[in-house]
Amino acid sequence: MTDAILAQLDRLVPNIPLQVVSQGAEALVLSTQTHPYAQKSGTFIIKYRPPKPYRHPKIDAQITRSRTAGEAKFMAKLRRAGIRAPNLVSVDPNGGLIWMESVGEILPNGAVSSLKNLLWYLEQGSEAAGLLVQSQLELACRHTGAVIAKLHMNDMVHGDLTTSNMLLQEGEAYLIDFGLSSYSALAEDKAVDLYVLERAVLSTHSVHAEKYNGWLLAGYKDEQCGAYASVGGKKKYSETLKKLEDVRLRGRKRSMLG
Amino acid sequence: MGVQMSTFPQYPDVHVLLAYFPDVAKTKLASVKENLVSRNPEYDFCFLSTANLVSLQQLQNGVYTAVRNQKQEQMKASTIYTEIMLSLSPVNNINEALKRFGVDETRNDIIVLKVVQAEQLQESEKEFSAKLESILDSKPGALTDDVLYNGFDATKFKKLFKLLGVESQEELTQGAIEGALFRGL
Repeated sequence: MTDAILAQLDRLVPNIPLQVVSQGAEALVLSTQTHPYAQKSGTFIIKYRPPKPYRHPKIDAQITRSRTAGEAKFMAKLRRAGIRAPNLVSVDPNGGLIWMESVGEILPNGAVSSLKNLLWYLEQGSEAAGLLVQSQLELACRHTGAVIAKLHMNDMVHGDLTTSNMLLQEGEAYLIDFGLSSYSALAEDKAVDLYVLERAVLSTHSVHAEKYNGWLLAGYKDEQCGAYASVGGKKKYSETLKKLEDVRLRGRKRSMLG
Repeated sequence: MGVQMSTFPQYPDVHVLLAYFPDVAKTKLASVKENLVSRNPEYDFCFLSTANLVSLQQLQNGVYTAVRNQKQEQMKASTIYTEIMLSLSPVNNINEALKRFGVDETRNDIIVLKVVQAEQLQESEKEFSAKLESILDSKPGALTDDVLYNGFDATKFKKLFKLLGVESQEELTQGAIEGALFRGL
């Protein structure tokens, strides 16, 4: 399957060496050292939405175009709002391509510095190193919580908050993957966003999940009740948290349908 | 410093020739405009005003998008040169793009581009500079980020790209690139 997609991609982006980073149901993520137009060095990420053979070609082209444009626009909005996310390099809405700058580092064990990998990496050493690692873990979680708070204060919802969709670079948290992102001012949607993250942490870091979730929410609270206190952050925080209680009881879906 | 040349890694068979003329008489620019309007085949170049260009990267993004659209046969404009201007513009209107990025006879500098195939590169390059120097009656200079940043029309630029309050060249560039990429989306 991947080979077939790569062959299509080679027609859109010829002459550029690409490495597959990951593949989802909707898109393929690749990395390259080549900038499409400027003489810039560094790593660049290409997100490619291949045509889906099970959809009618016309509808498929429309969906690919609007989703690619939507995601790229969301990233541009984040940059303007000062929320850390990858910078946009180029967009080809008809081809379903987004070029962006790469974020994140490589951990000493060779993995990408996503929150998930970082927590796993630190957990391994935590028995020996003790307190120092504890504070590193706490800081990583709190920074991530703060970025999510910023996102929510700008009435944006990520839609797919998992620990692998957050990357740490030089101690700062970056969000990636805005394929399911949307704009919403509703406390409900933000609470669902947080709930999804809570469940994701529970499944990837089950032993320490309670601790991590506590830190994430603490970071979230500090940002909304601190930096955003003057623009109604406290009120929004308490509304979201109250909704989160409801969501925890009933699950992600509001109705029993779908 | 004469002609600058660049290619894109994706399309090695396409070369872009660029010359920057920092000091051109306004009457010459007016006559260039006239000739372009009357579609004189001798003026088969892309003449760009620097008023709304803040950095080389912004310009490169526009040229890249235009070349890509040509390769994928998705051009909106009739020629690659108009397509370049459209690809620089945040407004989905070709006339508007020509007004913002085309020849501006109130300024005294101009960027000239030519998109050529690799096999015609050698002859085009010679012809390019000779022809332009005679058309514009001026000597080319180097085009750098500093030249663009010092020369662009900040008020018009920020209004066009809706970037009020942004100052640094880097952020203006990123904002302008995003604006141009999202044209019509």
